[in-house]
Amino acid sequence: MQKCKIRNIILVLLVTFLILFGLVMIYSASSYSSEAQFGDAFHFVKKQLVGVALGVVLFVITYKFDYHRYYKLRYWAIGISVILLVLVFVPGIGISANGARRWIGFGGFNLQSSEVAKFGFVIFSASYLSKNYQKTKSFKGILPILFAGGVICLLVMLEPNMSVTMCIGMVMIIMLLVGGLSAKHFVMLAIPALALVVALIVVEPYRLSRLMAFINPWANPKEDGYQLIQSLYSLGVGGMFGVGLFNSRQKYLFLPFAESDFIFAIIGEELGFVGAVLVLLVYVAIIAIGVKIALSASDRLGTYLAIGITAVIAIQLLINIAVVTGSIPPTGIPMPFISAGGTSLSVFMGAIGILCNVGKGKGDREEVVKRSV
Amino acid sequence: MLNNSIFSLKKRLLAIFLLVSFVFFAIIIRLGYLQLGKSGWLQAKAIDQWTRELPINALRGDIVDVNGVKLATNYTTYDIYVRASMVEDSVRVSHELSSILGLDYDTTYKKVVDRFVSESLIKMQASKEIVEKIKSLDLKGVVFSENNSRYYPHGEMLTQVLGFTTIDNVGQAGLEAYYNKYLTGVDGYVLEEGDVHGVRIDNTLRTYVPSIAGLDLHLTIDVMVQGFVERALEVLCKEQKPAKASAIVMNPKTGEIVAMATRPNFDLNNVPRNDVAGLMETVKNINIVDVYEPGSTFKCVTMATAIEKGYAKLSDTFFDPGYRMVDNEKIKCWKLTGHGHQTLSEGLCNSCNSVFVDLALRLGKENVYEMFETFGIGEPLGVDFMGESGGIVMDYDYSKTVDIARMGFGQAVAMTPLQLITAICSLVNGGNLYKPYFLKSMTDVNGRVVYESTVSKLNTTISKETSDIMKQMMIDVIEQYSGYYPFIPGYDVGGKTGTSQKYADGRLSGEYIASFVGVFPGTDPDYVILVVVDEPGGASYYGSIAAIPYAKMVIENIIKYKKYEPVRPEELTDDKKQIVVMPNLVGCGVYNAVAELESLGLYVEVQGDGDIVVSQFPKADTQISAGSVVMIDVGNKGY
Repeated sequence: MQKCKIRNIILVLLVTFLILFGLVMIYSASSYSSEAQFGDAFHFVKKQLVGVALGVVLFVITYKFDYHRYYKLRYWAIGISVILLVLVFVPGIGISANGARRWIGFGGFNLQSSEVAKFGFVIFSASYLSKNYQKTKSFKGILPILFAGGVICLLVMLEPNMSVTMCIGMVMIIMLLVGGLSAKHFVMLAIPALALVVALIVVEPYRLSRLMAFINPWANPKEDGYQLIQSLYSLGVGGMFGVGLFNSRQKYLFLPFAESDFIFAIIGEELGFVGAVLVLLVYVAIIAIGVKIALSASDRLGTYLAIGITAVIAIQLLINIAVVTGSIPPTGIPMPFISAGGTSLSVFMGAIGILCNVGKGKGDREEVVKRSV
Repeated sequence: MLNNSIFSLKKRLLAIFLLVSFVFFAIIIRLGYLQLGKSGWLQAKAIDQWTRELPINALRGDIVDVNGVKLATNYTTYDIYVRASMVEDSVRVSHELSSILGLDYDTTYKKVVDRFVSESLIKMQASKEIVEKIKSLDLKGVVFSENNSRYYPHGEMLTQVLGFTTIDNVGQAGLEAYYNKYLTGVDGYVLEEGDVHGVRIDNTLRTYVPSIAGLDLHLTIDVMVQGFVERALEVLCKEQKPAKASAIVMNPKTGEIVAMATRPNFDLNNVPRNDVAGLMETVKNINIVDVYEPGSTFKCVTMATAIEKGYAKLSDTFFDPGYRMVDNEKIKCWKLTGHGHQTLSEGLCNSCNSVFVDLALRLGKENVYEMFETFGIGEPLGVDFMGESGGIVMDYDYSKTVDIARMGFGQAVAMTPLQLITAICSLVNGGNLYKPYFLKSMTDVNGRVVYESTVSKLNTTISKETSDIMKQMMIDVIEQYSGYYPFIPGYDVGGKTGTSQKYADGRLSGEYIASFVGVFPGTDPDYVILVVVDEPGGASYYGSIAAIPYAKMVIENIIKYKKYEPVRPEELTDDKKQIVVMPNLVGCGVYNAVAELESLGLYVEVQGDGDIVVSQFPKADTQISAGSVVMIDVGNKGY
């Protein structure tokens, strides 16, 4: 019991640290650009603070809300996710920006549907698996998850948002794997999924050109390669110990999306390799705690919820830093807890609430084993 | 074991955790490679993109006249920008800017609120006054950038002499081009760090290397005299509508070019760059670049050489029947009836071709060619101007006697107006052929003289004694031309007219170039003035006298400007200028007509070939003052 409490406190402290650190970094990365664009150096910081406030409320609610009750809400979870994703396409509600429809807006409040849908899917699949984990050896048994995940992926892909689609796809695979997916089915699913990714890249010329830009960004430094090159400059300038907090030069409009998708590049520039790795270690600690909570959850629902939430955090983090370091083709996905983005932050905070609620769990692993057997 | 699904879950979870850790580790390795391994390379490229070298253009030197009056200088214009992020009251800013600058409000407003660019250009090349006005309103977010543009305070003067610069202040024509190297200073620069749009980042290092301004040119040009010349040419063009006209005023004692003008011209502040072909033609300084046959003005040079070399004495007499036969070719005098018996001096006054055929033939081929060389004809003089022509002297081996004979009165040889006036200067300054020049000195930005030109003597052309004779002869020419009344009452003026036929495609085109060279004061000249009129008259043809009145205007103005004391003050009060009425002479015999006009106190110029007057200028019943020059055309039409 005491152990669980300490674990939860550490988790909340780590997340709080990342959020506060994020606020500082958002200010550093965006003060110049938002001053230039909005006449207010704190533009993004203020928006983020709204996200924090909302996130605290969500966290308190989800922390108090007994996770067992999610089982009953599983269709609500997936249903609301789908509705939110469909609303993106409804004129007047959906908001289009940069050639994609990813947000819905009502009354001055904007919400990125896919951020909610990620966790909606986690709740649905965790609930399903908690009752049907023995059916997952059959194809029919995994069909509801495939269907739910497929619909959400399809809707996100239509926005279009390749990176979130990939993120949800990978979460689905992890959920299926821990839910007992057979090797045969894994291969059966992986091959068409890979083929689909290739097809989607080939179909949209801009994705192909991004891919080419990734392979050799210096071939077209002013166009497709620009963002990646600017990100690499930031990291290179940072070196071992960085140029010091607030001293980034790349944030002077050279690096686009410095406060959101590429904030890790600014961290690398200002705090160097040492600072960047320390920040990543905080994530490692959070992920490790998430895994620990999953393994010690009092029932399967708790385990699967914890795995799903941890998977979302881990996968999103990996994709983000892989993009920033030029390890995979550029794609826009925020860094959990740190990047500017109100929806993302508050939803992640809510998810941490669920994780903590699971983490309260009375039993240790022996108990779980007993129960499941 | 297979049934123990929780074991399977844990195993799988660990496997996934390991896989994620592996990917994570790989990315950290990649991060280390970028931040530690490639740091130097990436940093160098990044610094390159942050720093900008902003040139500080060196101020181009001024060009000033002999008294320090600015002829070419710089003026500052401002480009006006708006930084949307700094604007506090966008409606007010848009309103003020659009009303002051006369811009459309909506367009301006769009720029003022456009936060997606760091700066929007509102207006280019605004004047200092407008900028002061905007600055006084204290509008937040409005910024200015300074540019220096070339400005010519006397833009329509000295068009071809000063020339102009490109938009980037590089000398393109005239003295601006010739002295470009000295006028251009050394640009400085600022090294500073900016954002992606080049807007400077506060508190960053800034390296400042100041520019060094160009040198100021002090010319020999006197803008007052230049003004007289420009005005005279203006009047000339209005009255005669010539194809071209040009004039030079030179100081015979030094070779300094005091004034030089050409028509047509254009305003240097508004260079007609759209018409490139037209501009190329108009910008040409024909006084220096183009050659022409000087005609009778050159007779002075032949005369002086003949006297100097002892081939002619003042006591010599000549008979002119109206022509000379040379190599079986008939060389006509302009007065077809002939000038009869004349002294050497009268020969120049009458501008009798026959006399100069005789002088040239007496000198002989060798001496005539030596004369050209001595007077600097055939080679560029070395004036400080681009594209100076050296004139055209027939190849020694190909010239025949008849050519030599023609050269005696300024035909069969071509030279620039500058060469002619330089030669004439040497005749009246004691025999010194000075290199003509524009640049007196150069000073740096602190006013320190860094270069001073000196008078450069090229040759001795004649002796002082011969020079004195020539001065008197040229005074006599003007006296005879003026008839009963002084040319300029109270003052001695020397001079000589000239007419030359224009050739087109090797044939006489029927068009003329009229010229006049004036010397003032006649006995101790400070100014020599050459006026050349290309295709004078249009409908009313003036002949060789076309240029005289305009040179006279210039001399009269110089007298007032330099306050010359009259040598014969009594003439100034002698105000008996008689008005006579021009008779109708068309159809009269040429002898009667000349006799009648001379009896009225008029000086007659006869043009053409024949015995009957076919036209006259001015027309009958015109009131003119006695002593004026009138013109009759003669021919055989209808008889």
